Amino acid sequence: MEYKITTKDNQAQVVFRGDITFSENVSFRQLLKDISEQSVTRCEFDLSGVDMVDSAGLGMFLIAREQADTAGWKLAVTGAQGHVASMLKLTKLSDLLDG
Amino acid sequence: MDDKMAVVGDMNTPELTDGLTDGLADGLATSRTEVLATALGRWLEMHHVMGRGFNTLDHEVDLVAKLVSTSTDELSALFHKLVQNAQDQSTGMEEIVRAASLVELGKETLTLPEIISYLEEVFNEGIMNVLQLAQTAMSLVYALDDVVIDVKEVVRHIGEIEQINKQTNLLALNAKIEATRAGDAGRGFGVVADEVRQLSQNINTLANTLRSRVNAVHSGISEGHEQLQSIASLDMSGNLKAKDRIENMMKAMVLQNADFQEKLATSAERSNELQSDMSSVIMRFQFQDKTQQQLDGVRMTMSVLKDLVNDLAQETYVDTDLQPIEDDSDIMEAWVDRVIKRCSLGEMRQRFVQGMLLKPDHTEFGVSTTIEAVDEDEAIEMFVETEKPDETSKPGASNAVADDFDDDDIELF
Repeated sequence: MEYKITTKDNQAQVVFRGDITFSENVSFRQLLKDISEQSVTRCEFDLSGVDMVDSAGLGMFLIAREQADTAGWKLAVTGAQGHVASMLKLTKLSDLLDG
Repeated sequence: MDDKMAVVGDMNTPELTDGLTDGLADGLATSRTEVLATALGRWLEMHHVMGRGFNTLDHEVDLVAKLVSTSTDELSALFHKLVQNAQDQSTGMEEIVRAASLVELGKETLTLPEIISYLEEVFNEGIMNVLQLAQTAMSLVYALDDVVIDVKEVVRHIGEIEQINKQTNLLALNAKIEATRAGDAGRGFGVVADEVRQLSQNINTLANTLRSRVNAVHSGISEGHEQLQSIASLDMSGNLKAKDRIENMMKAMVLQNADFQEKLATSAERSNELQSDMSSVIMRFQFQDKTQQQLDGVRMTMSVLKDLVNDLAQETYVDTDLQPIEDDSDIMEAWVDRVIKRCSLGEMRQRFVQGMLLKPDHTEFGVSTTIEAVDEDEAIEMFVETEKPDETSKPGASNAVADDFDDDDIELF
């Protein structure tokens, strides 16, 4: 998994590439750390470049949301398509992650 | 009798008038009387025939009335049955639809929407649990990662201990050497140096123990890490797709059920329509009452006419010396033949002939030959008819009505 963060006016956008699965947990944690170092009010995860998400990936999204709640910023997930989109929809996570 | 036969044979209606004229032309009072007597005799004959005729017709009308009555009763019963069947079907269908939309579970009865929402709930709970599990697992992974960092620090510190220990050992060694050089004065110092070296050894052993313990912790953590991976790396897409499909199936069932209800409502409507059509049909059967009334009217009228003619005939017999006509097969046959030649009578023919020719005590005037004779023109050639003969339908009609003939209608003298 690769990611790129861009910030503008206290809003951050993270563009992902690759799979978000268990094996990527270290990178994901690093990302969360990077975000926490910038003071943002809103952060958008762009998943259009993501092909596959497993339950670990979903768990990590939930951890990100928890962190957002604690730190006081909003998390939004966009651009999901195909497999990723159906996973988010069927678990009703898409409702949860629409900040 | 013979006279009358001869007279009957010689005369018909047009010639009768001529006969009268001839009689008057003769100017003889007696021949005029004779002519009138003859004519009157024929009228009286006619009265008798008409009496029998009225009876026969009355019977025919009665048959018609009975036929209509029986037929309408049968039709009515059939219609009732038809409507009942349709309603039973409708009720049956209703029960099927109702049963199809419910599920009996022990003592409970569940509707489709209830089942769907229960399934939905169960699925969602399951999914929530899995997600919860995944989040917890990942949190645990991260926590373990932090532990590993601390563990690494500990290992580093152990390394530092070992370093310091090395230095300590060297220092002790140097101290020992200095103590030996100092001789007796350094003896006590030498003992201390030995003690310090011993301590350093102990510390070294301890450090090694610590190191292996920490390594054990580290590998324990690695194993935990692996277990967490297997917990957290589920691909749920198969399960989720199944859930989605099941939910769609249930929704389709609900739609189908709604469709059934609609069709049921239509069926109920049709049932009502049928019911009101039925009422219309029953109403139309009232024609039977009207028919009955009209036929009764006809019979009544015929009865009155018959009585009038009969009364006149009685008076005539009283006023004149003329003899009442007895049932005589040849005369009656001739009259019957005249009627039949003018109209075929159809199915009624046999009943008519029998009705006209039966004696009051129901014996027949050789009825079989009479009936056959009616068919053949040459058998009864007493009258010369100007009208064309009708096509003769076989008198062997299906109705054997001899028994039906009411003898109270045969009013002779």
